[in-house]
Amino acid sequence: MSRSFVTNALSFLAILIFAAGFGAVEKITVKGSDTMVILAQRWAERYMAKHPNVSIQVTGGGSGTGISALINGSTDICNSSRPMKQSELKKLKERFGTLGVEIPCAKDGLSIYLNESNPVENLTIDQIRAIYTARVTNWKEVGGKDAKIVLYSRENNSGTYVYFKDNVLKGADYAPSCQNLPGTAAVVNAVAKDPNGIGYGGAAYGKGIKEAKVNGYAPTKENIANGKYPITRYLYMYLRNKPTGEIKRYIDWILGPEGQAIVSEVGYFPIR
Amino acid sequence: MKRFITALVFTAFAFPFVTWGQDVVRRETGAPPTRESGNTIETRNLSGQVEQPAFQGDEELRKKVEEITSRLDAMDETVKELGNDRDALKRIKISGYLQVNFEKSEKQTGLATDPYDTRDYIKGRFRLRRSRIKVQYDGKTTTMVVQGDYSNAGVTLKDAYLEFAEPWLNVFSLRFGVFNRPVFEVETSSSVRESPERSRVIQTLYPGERDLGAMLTVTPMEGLNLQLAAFNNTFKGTFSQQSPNFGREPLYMMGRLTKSFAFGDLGVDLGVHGRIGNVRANTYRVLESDRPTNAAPDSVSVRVGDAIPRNWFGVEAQLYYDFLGGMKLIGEYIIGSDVDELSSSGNVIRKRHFAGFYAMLVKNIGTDFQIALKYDSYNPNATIGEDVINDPNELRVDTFGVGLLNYTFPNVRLTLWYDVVSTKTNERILTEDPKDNLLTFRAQYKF
Repeated sequence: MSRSFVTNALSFLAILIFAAGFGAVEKITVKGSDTMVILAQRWAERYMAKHPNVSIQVTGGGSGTGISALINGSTDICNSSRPMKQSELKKLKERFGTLGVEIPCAKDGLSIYLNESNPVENLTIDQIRAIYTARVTNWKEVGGKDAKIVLYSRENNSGTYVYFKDNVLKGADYAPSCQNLPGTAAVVNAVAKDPNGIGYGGAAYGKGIKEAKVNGYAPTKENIANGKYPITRYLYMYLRNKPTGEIKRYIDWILGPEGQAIVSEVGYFPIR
Repeated sequence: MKRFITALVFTAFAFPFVTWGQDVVRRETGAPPTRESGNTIETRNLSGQVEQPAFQGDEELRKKVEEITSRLDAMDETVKELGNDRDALKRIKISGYLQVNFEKSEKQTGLATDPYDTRDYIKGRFRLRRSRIKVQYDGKTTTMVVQGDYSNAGVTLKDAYLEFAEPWLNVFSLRFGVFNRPVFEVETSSSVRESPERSRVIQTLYPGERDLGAMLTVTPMEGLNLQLAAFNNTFKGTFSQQSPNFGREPLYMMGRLTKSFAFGDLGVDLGVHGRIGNVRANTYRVLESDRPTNAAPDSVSVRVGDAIPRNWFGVEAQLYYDFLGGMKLIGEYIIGSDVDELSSSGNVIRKRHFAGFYAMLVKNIGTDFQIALKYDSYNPNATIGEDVINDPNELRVDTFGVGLLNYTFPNVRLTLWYDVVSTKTNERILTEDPKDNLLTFRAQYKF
């Protein structure tokens, strides 16, 4: 192997690395959590209105779908309503050699939806776990009428599904009778039509049904902020690398007063 | 389906207004309401007299609403069933990848063995390296995997295993069947690995990568992983190979322990692995490479059935750093004693102390390109000097590889790789480094 070959190869590598540092980003793609899609769209609309040279494309699909897109390089920002799993982090490390960048950008209380006609007002975490794992199957066992409980859930590519399973069900499997629906709006609609239904989802979607208290606390802004409401979570943005250029400016804006004010407008809770 | 449901709902809402409008017209004109014989629902008062509905139109409206409601209920049932079917289908995952190489060697016999292209004395050719389809069924805590390699010579079974995880602690899982042995580069699929081939030491110790056995995986905390496995002792490693020179020793054991650390932008994964197991001699001669007798073949007498150890130990490290788009540095070092059969000398077993390692640096260039550098060294006889070795295949080989990878097209990876292969020389058997550098272009599709 000649010395000139080594010199040429190293020069070529240096040019490529140098060139990689300069990539003007004018178009930003955002993909992921359905829970966050309205929030993300609102952020994008306001930011684009102020920065007409920037194009931000927002799509949902679920947290799992967004993380897959981040790993295969088809999105710049992934929205996720759950932390990245170890198996996903492993894939990101294999493909891009980084640990990713996790940015908590809002806080959310996960509401338990009941039909308005349901006399039950309060459930404990243990009762919710028992209901979703089919150890409790009748409303009368938790202070309601004598009727079979009908379970509604999100689909398994949803961060909400995973968060609920990990944190409320403590890793246990959902009951086989649980119906998985695409999107929190579908869960809300199903519970609104079904007097014996129960579902869960982000507070931002909790309209047209009633939200049960959990351990005696309603999912209000105060209870979520002071930690009394027990089912709360962070909403995240994930990136492959430390943000630079327009992406960094966009994220700084989201974490700033204007972006965090939109968090409150949409019904979530600011982190700052 | 959505359109049909929308139409039905629209009909349900629109119909009352249409019929109500007709009724008003009739009342205004004094025309009697239309009576549909046989479908009227009679209601009776307390004295048993038939009560006439206030308006005939209300009765028809109620019937229509009931009819549409029952249709919607039936449709709900159908949608639920379809949802259940879809959930069941989503548990079946099909993935696969295809790799086509163009390879050009410096010498006429420098290309890898290809059973589908037996032409001699060619320096360049296309080769279908992989054509794999993997089918996986994910039960809630159970998994079954079957993977085959498809070629014009038929289907070769690669993975075939079942796995189940305990649902209480989410710490233990068990796997049975044919699967990759627990070593970092063995478990890293070529569809993910940047270099076209595994390192020479890995290819030598783990031919075929897989074996038939069982493995317990323990994950007591995030980032800490222990794998303990037992495999059929079929000597060569692949579950279909059995050397006639070795007697039966039921099993060999493997273990691997890994731990991940994160320090800001820097991720460090460290691990160790080992293999313990003997082979039983079916012959009377064993060559020990760490004896100078290897120079002028000599042997140590053994009895049939004597245990000859085949043990080794390895360490691994992977570093990931978010530097200008991300980079990683990975490597493994393995030492131990291996056993081989010396077919050219009849029924002779050769035991040797080897050492091998590799290190690979991969740097992202934007999101579409990567550049990789790999250094790989394998010395089959690490405890003796090269000058006493009299078999050219027993000399140390170092390989320096450099490659450029492209990910522009969805699901497609293009690799251009050049390996500079250096074989140690000695006065006895090899006085000149063979010209066996290899250029590989690979097109891969993965889904």
